[in-house]
Amino acid sequence: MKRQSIQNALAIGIGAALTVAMATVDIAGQQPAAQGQGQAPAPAAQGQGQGQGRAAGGGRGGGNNQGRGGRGAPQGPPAAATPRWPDGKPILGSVPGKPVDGWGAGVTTLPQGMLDQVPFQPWARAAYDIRQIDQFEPHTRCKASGVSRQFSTPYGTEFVEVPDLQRMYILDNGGPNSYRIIYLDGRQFPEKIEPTNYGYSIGHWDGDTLVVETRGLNEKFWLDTRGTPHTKQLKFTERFTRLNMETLEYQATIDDPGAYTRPWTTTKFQLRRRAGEEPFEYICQQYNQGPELMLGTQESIDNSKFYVP
Amino acid sequence: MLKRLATAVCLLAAVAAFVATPRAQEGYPMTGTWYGDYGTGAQKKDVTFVMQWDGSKASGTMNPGPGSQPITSVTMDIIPGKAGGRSLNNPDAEAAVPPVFNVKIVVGDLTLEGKMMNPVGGNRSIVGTYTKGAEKGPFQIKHL
Repeated sequence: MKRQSIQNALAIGIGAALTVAMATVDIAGQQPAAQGQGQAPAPAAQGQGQGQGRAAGGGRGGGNNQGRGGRGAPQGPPAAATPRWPDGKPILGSVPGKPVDGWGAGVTTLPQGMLDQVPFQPWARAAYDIRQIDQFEPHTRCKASGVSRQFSTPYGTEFVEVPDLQRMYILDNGGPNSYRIIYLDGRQFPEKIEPTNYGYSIGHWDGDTLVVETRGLNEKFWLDTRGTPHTKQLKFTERFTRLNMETLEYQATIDDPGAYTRPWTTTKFQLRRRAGEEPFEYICQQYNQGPELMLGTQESIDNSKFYVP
Repeated sequence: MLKRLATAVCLLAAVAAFVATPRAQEGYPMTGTWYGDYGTGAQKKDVTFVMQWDGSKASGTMNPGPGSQPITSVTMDIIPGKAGGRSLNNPDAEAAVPPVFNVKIVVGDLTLEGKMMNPVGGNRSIVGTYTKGAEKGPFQIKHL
């Protein structure tokens, strides 16, 4: 019943957002350049070569997964300015009245470029090291994986802002095909939060940056494809800055006394816009090549069997 | 009567299914519930541990319920692993060596010392030796 309510609310919210937004918003190009943000170079061309594969949710994904297209492509003209809502806040999702956009994967491993500076507790570093060998990430078994792990799936994410409801949804197009809610209504965290895979996310604007703090995360997922560990004590803060039409900057601060000796902040990652790409239906459970890992002993994959019957 | 019986059976089945379902836990490896035994033959004893982690210390209970005992101490000694260079393109290079997790659980005069197998897997276990006064023998516990 609760799930039904959430689904209904989501559907209503998206519909309301699109209706209101189409009627009121100024689209990109009608707004001045982003305040305080220089024009970043245009992103790489949005290649279309990557098929909609069968593997579950991205797995280990390679070194610097930038979504479809990505690195190495020739640079084009400067990107358009950051699109904005009528109140001047940046639009992080699709621009109303324009084709729906998504964001490509941009985070491979949170310690990228700073592994030796990450203040792991000894057990956490050992767990991280083992996970470089052990590939059985929960996400590859179709487990919903919150916060930064949402930005590692090869099929990207879609941000759905619903100003009327003062919240935003981040839709996973991959993995278990689920979503995270970010409350933007100024609420406080509940005193007790039952830990879940996506946790409880509250956001606020700091200039042109959306700052989102998430608490109440359980320990059933990895923070990224490479196995950065955490515990239930984690407070995860994300900073989303749309540098221009094509680029979303992402940075996270990990405050988890259960796994680290002090809080630490990642480098800045960049997510690239997947222009005009509607999310498609991706059912992880259906396409998973290792269904025996979804439950049970999680010891091995039977490679002779490709599909769940 | 039949309806009540059916309800009771359904409830029992639901509880059994919940208990039997492996619950993944990817945080501190000792956290959660462990079940196993120590000793051999007729002397073998079942044992259950429930443990928590506060960020600097693990604690918990042995055999929760009547006759439960608090865990005196839990320590985990980690021997770091070694990165390896082996890959499909370089199959002759040295393989990576995973870290080793040595665990010691003390409950009163019972001491369990062993190695954690598959420490980041949902099916991890600890296998080793127990001592209790003059007694000594094997033990094994599995993470549920």
